[in-house]
Amino acid sequence: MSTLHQAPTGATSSTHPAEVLLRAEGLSRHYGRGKDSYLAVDGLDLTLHRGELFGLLGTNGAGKTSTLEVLEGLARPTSGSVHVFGHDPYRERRAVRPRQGLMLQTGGFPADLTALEALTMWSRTLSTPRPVLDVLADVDLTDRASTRISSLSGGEVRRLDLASAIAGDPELLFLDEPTTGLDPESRARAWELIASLKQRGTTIVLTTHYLEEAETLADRLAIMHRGRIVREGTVAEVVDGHAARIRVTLPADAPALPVLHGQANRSTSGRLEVTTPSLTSDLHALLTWARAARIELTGLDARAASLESVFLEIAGSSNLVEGRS
Amino acid sequence: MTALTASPRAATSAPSRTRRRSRLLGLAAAELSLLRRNRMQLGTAIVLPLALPFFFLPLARQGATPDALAGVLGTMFVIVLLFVVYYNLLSTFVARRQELVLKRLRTGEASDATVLAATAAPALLLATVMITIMAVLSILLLDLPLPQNPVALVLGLSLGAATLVPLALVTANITRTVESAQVTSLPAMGILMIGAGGILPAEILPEWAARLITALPSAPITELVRLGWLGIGADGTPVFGAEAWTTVAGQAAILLGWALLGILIVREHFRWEPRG
Repeated sequence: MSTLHQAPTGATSSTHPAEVLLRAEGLSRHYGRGKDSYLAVDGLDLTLHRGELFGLLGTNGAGKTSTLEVLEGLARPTSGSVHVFGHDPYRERRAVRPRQGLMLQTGGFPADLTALEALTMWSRTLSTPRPVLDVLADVDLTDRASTRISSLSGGEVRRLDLASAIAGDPELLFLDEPTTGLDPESRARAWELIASLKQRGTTIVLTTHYLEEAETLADRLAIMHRGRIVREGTVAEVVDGHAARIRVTLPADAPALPVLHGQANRSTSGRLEVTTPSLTSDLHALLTWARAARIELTGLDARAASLESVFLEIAGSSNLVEGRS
Repeated sequence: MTALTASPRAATSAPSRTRRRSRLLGLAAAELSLLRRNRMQLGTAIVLPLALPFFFLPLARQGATPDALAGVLGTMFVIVLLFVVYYNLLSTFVARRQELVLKRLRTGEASDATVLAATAAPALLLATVMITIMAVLSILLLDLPLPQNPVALVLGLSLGAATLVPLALVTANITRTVESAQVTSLPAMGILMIGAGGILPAEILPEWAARLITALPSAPITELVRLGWLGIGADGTPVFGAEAWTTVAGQAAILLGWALLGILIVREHFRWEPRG
């Protein structure tokens, strides 16, 4: 990032803490009619400030892409409203599109064009295109410039997608699973690129399957489940108040458990699961108890609350409900 | 990706008309590269117009007068338009839709009309060049006179080509793959060939059918080619002055009507993405 310059228009959240770039209110999206009708997004509220990186997480089918399409102005909501830069992104696309960049999940480059030709084609549709070779360099595709799209790997096409999204120097950038299909090295580099865009003041909405990605990059995030936002805030806020968990297998002749803060669940097979708000003291109590009783704690696994555990709990509750219905 | 080379955002953006033209040219340039790389499409578009005049050579050798050739002349141009514009563009639109190129372009700043027009532009350009060559070749080979009314001729061919663009787009809606275009293009091709008068001579048809045929988009193309080139009407008698221009206006109106209808259908119903 040695050659990074601050763009003149790149205001950061610290200078304008309250500037709202995107606001969605009561957003709903319905598919189909009658018996087959399906509510993909169910009364969603969202506010995005300039300069922040917002992570949108959710299980498959939670409604992330359906939400994103409405925020991007590609689809009309069934009800509710969206304002981006103060405009309706669907009806006033001319005002919004030049200032936003989209990275779709789908590719969409002609197979017989080279990477450079495809990006040039895209750039010529933009109001404020950056030099095409610079953008290719940003995503490490300089040496693949004259390779046909049909010969690029999936990860390379993904990077070309990312290049297209940032080619217009957008103020607001939507990244729909930007690192899916990338190898670990490319992913790390993409993260660097995204972080540097954020540093320039670009406001970013990111969806991802990788919780680590959201944890590393996002200022704020929301977890969607069945069309609704069920958790929202910084990573710390989302994780806060969430129970930690201890799992261990006890021998059949183990004595009664010590007093714990958390909820202990002991199965007949000797499996113990403790869900607790105070991980340290409960773990300590268990270890002391085990030592005194000379018990070997096999398969001991103690986990603080993390984005992953919060996410898995939400995903798990969905499976449970779906299993019953 | 470590070195993000930032360029300052353009302080003032170009006027919207310039930008629109730049978008159209940029997209059309990419499409032209794709056409150049598609041997099959390019081959048909080049070989067919060069070969067609030779098919009519035996007829001219038998001493057929320009009047007698008038009918086949219109058919010849309709065939070229059908293959070089209609079929070619049908394949192109389906290919771009299936590759999700149309979907991507639609998420950007270019308008729907710009995207579709730019995709059609190279085929239209190629058709212009090849039809000109074919016309010159026909004059030399078939002993034809120079066009009497070039305005009517050019009007008929350009409006005809323009009408085939929305028709290709509408056909693309019922065409799932580039290969299936071979089948889905047949109805329109067949009907337009009948309209060109090349398959069913009007004399053997009941009057209502003959009249219906003159309303097909290919009928005015044939009519305008005949009038523009040879200065004669459908019955072979010369048409002059005001009468000629009235005919031109009437025929052009039929083509415009079709083009308009096509555009309205495309606006409402065109599929920009593959079926789910």
